Amino acid sequence: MSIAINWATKVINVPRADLLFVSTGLYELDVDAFRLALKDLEDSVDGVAFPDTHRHNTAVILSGVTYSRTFEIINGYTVLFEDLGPYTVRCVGANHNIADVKVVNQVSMLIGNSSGLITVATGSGPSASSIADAVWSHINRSTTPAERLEIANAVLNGVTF
Amino acid sequence: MTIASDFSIHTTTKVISYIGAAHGVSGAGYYTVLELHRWLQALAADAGATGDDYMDISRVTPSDKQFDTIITLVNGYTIDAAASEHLYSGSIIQAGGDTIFDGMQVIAGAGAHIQVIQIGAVLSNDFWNSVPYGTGVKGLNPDAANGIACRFMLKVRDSAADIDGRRLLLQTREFGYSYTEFKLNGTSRGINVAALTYASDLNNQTASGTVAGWSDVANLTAGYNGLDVNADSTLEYYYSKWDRGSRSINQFYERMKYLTRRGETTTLYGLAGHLFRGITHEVAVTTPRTSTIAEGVAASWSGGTGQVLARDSAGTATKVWIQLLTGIAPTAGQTITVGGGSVTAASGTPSTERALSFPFCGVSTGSAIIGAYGFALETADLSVNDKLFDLTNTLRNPPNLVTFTVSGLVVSEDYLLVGPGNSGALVENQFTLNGALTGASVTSVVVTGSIPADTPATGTIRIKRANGAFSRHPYSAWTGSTFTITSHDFSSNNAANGNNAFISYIDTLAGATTASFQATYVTDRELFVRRRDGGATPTKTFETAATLGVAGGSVAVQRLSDA
Repeated sequence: MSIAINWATKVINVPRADLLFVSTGLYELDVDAFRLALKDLEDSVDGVAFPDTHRHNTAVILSGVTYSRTFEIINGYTVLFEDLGPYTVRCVGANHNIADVKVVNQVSMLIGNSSGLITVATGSGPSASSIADAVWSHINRSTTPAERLEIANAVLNGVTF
Repeated sequence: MTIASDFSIHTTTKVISYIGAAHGVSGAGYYTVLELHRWLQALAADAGATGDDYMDISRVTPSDKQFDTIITLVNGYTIDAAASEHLYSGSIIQAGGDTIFDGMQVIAGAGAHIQVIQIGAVLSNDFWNSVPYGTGVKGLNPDAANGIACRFMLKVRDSAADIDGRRLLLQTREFGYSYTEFKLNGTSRGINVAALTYASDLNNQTASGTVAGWSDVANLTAGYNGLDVNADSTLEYYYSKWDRGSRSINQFYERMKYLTRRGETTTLYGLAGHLFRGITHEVAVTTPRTSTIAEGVAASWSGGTGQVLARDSAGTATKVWIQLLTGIAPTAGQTITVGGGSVTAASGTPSTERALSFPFCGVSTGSAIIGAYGFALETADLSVNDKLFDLTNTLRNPPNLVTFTVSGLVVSEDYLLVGPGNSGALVENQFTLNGALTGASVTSVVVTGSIPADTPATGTIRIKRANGAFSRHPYSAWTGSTFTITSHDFSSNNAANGNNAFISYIDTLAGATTASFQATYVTDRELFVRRRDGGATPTKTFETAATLGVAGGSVAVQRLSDA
């Protein structure tokens, strides 16, 4: 068994056997190899009738530093790691969004993404007060009055969280 | 030279002979029949014969003139064959009317090479095509100022019998020039004018040596055959089915000219190419019949001969199409003998004369052909601007077969899918199945609604299966709402009623750097093109919208590395 796609459900099935065994309960997914396997499926007789599974940007070298490739599952496809009980998949070789499209089961992930300089929205982003309001609102929704009082007392008593 | 020095009169036989220089040689003499008559009359008035001239006042009168162009040699005087070649502008009647030479005057461009066909054969002694000394241009006795290419006399009656009813066919078939013919259904005394054309054919400019090598042009069916030229699912009938091979339609036209040019002896329908003209008559036939009627064989009947180019049935023919070779076409009730069989010309109007085209295939516009009566190419070799006339003489227009081509492919690497498109996306629901596909050997797929008229005659369709995949199925034909597919097992992973399906106009791993399909243009159709290569050197998926338009369409795929 190897990586396969259920075209009806758009689920990409990843057998555990296709992962690299690292240690008990820990397996490794080479994201680039995974990508190439998907490309091979896409250009098959069956796959050519369906939209792309992913978007890929290759590694780039900038000032002598190689920035890793990126890999993004798109078009509604999801990734299902074979559920043979709890185990962890450590992803290597690319920044990716697999965790965003992973089918929830007993398999956990070590995403392995790493960012350098990132770009955030400015100008129209949230203000400090709106963030404070949002935090306060969340606390109000998720705690009882007694719990909030207990937290306040703890702060007054010098406890740090 | 003078007429007196060029001719002699035999003392005893009274034969008037030409003794001057031969054709094309300095001093060769040519004289009108009136000049001959004047000379003879002058001799007849001489007091005594001189030199090689037998004639003087003591002899019987040698000639009589009815008109300036009709001279009768009387009292046993005759001209011989050589003398006849040096006389023109009129007729010579001799032997009491048992022998007649009639005058010919050909209206054509200077230098035209004229072929004369008599009794179904080209006259080998074509002295009239000689080049007069010092002119460098073919044609005896020309009159360029009046558009006359040549003037001469031909024997049309011999031994008290008209030669093939004095019928003559004059034609020009010079490769590179226009082909024409002029039929004389019985020459008259005096000057018989034949109007021909001898002009450069702008659609026939390829060297004959080059065209000689175009042997991939072939007549797949030399005889009666049905073709659906106008793609209306009804066969029309023609007497040929040519394959133009790798040649353009104009090159095909040139090849047709080559096969029927002057001197060509390769046979078409059993006739030497330079004698082949196409169908001249359609003959209705009936019982009694004997044996079967073959095609491309000689036929004969009382009063004529011909060549059978087609018949609508070997054993029970009701129509026979012939090229008339000699005499007249069969008349009602005549028995027509064809090879070992025979049929009988029907009563009423058994023979219908059909108009000929020159060359026999029709006319080329340079990019299309306007076919002669009954002439056809295989349908795949036709385009929308071609016009054919079937054996009922009905105009048939081929559909606009257009080609869509995708280029820039890498062989054995790229998988290409061209399907119906809408706003840049693949239309997966072009059809829905009208009935589930569950059998073990399904060969017929019925869809809801009609299959579009611009669907290729053969190709592939995709059908959505229970597992969600669109399986690929080659089809060999379609009609109405039904595709005839290669037998396939749908007993598992079947296709439910209402499942989507679509035509995959191109659906293949690239076998060449280009891939294409051909379809009948009806209206613009949006297509979706997808090329993928996920192999050892992967590339990014290429997708684009395209249009199958009135002139077809094309897309050059891009290949961006995705390594």
